[in-house]
Amino acid sequence: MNQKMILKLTNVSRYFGKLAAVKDMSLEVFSGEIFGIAGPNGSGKTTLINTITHIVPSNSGEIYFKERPIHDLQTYTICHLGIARTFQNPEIFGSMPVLDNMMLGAIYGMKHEKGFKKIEHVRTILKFVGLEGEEKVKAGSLGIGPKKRLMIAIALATKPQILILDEPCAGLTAIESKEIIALIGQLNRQGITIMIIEHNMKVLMNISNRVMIMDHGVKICEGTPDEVSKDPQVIEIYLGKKYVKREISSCWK
Amino acid sequence: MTDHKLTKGNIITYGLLLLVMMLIPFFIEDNYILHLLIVSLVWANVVTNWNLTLGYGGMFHIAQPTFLAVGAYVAGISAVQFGISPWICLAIGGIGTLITGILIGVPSLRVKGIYLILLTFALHFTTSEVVFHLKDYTGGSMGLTVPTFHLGTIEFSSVNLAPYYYIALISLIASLLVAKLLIRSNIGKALIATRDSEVLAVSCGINLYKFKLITFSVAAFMTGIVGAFYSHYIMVIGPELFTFSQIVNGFGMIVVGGIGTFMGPVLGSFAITFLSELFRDIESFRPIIVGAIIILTLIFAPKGILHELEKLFSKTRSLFIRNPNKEKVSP
Repeated sequence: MNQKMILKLTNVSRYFGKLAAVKDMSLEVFSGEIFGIAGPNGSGKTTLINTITHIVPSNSGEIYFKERPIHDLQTYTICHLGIARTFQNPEIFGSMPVLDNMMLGAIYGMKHEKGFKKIEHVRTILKFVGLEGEEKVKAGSLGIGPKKRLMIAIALATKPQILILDEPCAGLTAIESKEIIALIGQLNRQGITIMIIEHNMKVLMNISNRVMIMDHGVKICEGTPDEVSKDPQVIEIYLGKKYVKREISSCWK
Repeated sequence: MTDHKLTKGNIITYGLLLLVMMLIPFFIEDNYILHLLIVSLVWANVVTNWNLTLGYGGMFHIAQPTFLAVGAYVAGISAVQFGISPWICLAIGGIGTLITGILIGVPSLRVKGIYLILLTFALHFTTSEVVFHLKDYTGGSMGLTVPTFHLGTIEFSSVNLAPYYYIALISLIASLLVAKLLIRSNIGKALIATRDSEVLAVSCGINLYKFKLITFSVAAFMTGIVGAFYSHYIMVIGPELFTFSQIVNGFGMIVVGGIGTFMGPVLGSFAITFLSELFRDIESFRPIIVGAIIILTLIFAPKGILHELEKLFSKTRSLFIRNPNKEKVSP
């Protein structure tokens, strides 16, 4: 793996009133890796992503993309730099056909490419995500699986260097999840850095190079899947105190 | 006609509609009816531009009636104080309103929802106060008498309203064309995308603020022109341009016609203008009646009357034209 830092957070915090959704978060994501994030509901995972992409601005701390500070940039500028994301609940342009959804990503996300290259790029992605033949279908009428694929396709249409996925398998059947995970693996092999939030620990441990566990807005553990799965705090959060004593790290498998 | 694509059917419909509209002054001799048609055309223009920002852009604001008034006053003052030709005043009204639109849009389009409505609401009544207090220029509560158009031997007067009718019609067509071009452009697609999912739109690189400001300014400019026309048509402009019923009527036209549909607000403007005129004898109840029409429309035809008419049309058509595919499917 190339160990060049692509995304860096230093002491990032985000408060909602007095509640710290993300507190003093520091992390580094390296180019070409799959960085997994997990944690119980309400642990601040989505807020962390929203802070990185400036959907909600951070209250303090610094965020760097390839050593360039991005914490003060607007969401659309962050996208232009090469950071794309998906959402936990399918966010699509429902009144438009599938192709138009992706073209918008290409038109506004790939600012410096020429028109015909954008069309070519979109056609390639359509095929890649398995939506070929659905170009003219109204996006709002798609099922949840294709909607999730479309969301990934829109993000890819912006030609990102890092793709942030917020629970890409949520609401999908086992087969659909397997397909999405395979797709993510393929994307990573093509050189796209992946940051992924996933509740299914088995999936996350299998796919990620490194994993971070969050709870109550703070990082409680970070490391390789093997290291994280042996961490007593992680075991306590997910399985309860009695499992810590038993030191059952294999329970993730 | 809710579709943005110019299909063969749509082109024929638009063509026939235009032909009918062009021929109307030849068949209607009653100046009162012609006056109502001109007022309808003026409001159709205003709400087309309002719908562009509200219906397509999802910007919930009430600035359009203010823009109509600003265009009217800028043109009126230019003509009265500086003796500028009413024809040139049309452009001046548009530019004056464009500047107002930019000045208002720059700070207010960063906010949304209730804040944008409140800001534009404040603009409406602040402008009203400015007009009221600058009596030397605006005539204050007495109003401002504005000269009308002159063009060769064509008579522009209260006994010959046809020339006004054609200017109002051309102005509406111009606004519809600008709206159509904008909606079909990448800016329009970005606006519709914003309406569908704002969070996704910004996440895939769309600079919402820029596109909202462009659309808001274009809509202000086009409304300013029609405001200027209105001042030279009505010839006395006054505080009635700032009444609350202006906002209610305009909003009612969009809701009744169909928010976010291309021709719905045009239809709504004719419906509300003529319906409202039926209750002229009970003047003070007119806003209540328009309000009731809005509520009833929201309950029984939330997508507007254009949508209901289209549904009725397709139902009637299906009675006469058999669907060959349906026959194949049935056992």
